[in-house]
Amino acid sequence: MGNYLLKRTLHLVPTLLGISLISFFLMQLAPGGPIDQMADLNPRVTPEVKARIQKDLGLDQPILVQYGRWLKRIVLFDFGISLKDNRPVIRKIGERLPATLLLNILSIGLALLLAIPIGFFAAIKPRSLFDRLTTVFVFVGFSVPTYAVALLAMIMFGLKLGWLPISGLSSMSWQPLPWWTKGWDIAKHLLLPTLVLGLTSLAGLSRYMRSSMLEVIHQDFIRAAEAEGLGYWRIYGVHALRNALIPMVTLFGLMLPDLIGGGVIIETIFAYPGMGRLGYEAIMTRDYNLIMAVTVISGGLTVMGNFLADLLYAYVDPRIRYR
Amino acid sequence: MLRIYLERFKQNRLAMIGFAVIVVLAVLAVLAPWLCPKDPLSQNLIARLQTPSQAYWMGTDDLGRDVFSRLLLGTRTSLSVGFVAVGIELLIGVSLGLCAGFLGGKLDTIVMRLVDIMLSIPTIFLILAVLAFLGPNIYNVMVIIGLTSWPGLTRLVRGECLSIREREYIQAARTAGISTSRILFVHLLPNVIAPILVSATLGVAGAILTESALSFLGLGVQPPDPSWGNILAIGRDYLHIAWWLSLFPTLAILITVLSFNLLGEGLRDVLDPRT
Repeated sequence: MGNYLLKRTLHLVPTLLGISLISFFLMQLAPGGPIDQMADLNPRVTPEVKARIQKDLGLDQPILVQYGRWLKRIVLFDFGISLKDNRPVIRKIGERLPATLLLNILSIGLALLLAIPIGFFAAIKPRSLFDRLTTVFVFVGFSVPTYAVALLAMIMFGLKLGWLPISGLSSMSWQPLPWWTKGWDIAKHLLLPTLVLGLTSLAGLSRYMRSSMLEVIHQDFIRAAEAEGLGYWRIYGVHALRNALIPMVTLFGLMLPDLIGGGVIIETIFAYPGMGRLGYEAIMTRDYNLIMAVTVISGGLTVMGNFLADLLYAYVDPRIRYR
Repeated sequence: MLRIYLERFKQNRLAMIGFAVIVVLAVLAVLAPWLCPKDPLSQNLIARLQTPSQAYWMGTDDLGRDVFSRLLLGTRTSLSVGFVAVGIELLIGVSLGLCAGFLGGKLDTIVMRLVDIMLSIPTIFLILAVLAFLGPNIYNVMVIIGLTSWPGLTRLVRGECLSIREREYIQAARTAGISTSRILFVHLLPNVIAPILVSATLGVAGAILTESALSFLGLGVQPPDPSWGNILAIGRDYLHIAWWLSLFPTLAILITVLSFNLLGEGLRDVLDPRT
């Protein structure tokens, strides 16, 4: 295990470096430099002043030098200041990250909670009514645009029925409330985005669980268990299920960027104060430091999530370690 | 062999339905400008936000434009983005996957590392940033979706290649002194075509969904040109008074994407009976 851990940790370095390279050079696509927009709108900024700001920010240096300097800073989590309000970028992200993690963990949890039993029952009775119904659901789930589901949910539960708030994470008059009312308020705000985000990953997850379970059921050790006369639930519910769950661990790692990505649209629609919307707003206002920070940090989080998923995978399935 | 596949495909009812719908949509897309009952671009402010009626089958939008005609023309947008984006994805994904899987060595390491990197960055940020910087239009949308969707395909093709590389007929071709490029394209490629075809079909579905989401966010196809996504974006503003503006484009997206998904899964069943 130690060897595997070391190898896997060394793999992280080039991947993280690659993410930083892409994030940095993505900004070079933008027409004009980072301060052009700022300078062009302000009549007091003469070409000389502009040149001086550029020199102060190190923008007159060769591009590789700039990248090197930036890399040196971000290793220490110094992502510079936001060009919009001059606040440190890392603090802005720090404010938004917990909300995004909360939303993602809840929706993955919800999706897993539903996907595992759905996939399980669909697989042990293939071609049954239940299997067919869930297959239809999966196909529709794959094919419907997330934001349209969000809109429909907002019309239904927010506007027509008026049960749930449709934007933000808390109400306006939030501060003076006692903690239990605060918690209830947040829960109500979280419900719709969590449901929509969770349902969008449910389709893929339950499909995956189904095929994983089908594969296990046809293996020899299950037939051996049947031959030994073990009970139905003991065979499927314990022996087969446990083995079918193993590949789900890797899928979890693969799902992370999708969730953060899908989060951009959901967070924007629900005006949810998370990283996705922060990234979207940063792009729309050309807040370069913030855009680079959001891509690097969400990429880094994904890499770490994958890393943990791999370790977990190697831990629960010893066959992986010896490959 | 082809006949067996065709027979099996015909028995897969859902896949046949998907295929039929796609053919109809393709014909509609090609003929759209001649089929539109009204001019999809002409505004008529007197007839703003009309409910669906005999004159306007799917109602009108906030500028009095005929929603049905706009949806029809939007078919063109969606299908062309889907096909072109997947074309780019195939070009990059298949060639990188073939080379990495067959040639192996350093090249393989580099390509797979690149795949890891691309799969870690939430591509939606890349896509949004590129469109915001280079300007949102249909060509940039096609290109950027294609440029960000190849990693999965590369991984798939490489995996297939690795298993085929060791087969006897490839070894035989090598021993016979056949050039690497000939082995790659004449002997290897045809044997990995099945999973590529499945992945490409599902890829079209994904690309159409992405385009509609981008247009919905205002970074895709720009008005007045119609796209299902930007019609939905207007629908969002009139959510409480004009349901038809959200419902019909959603259905259009759902039906189209569903058809490609059904066809893709059907192809998988036919071409790759193991799974």
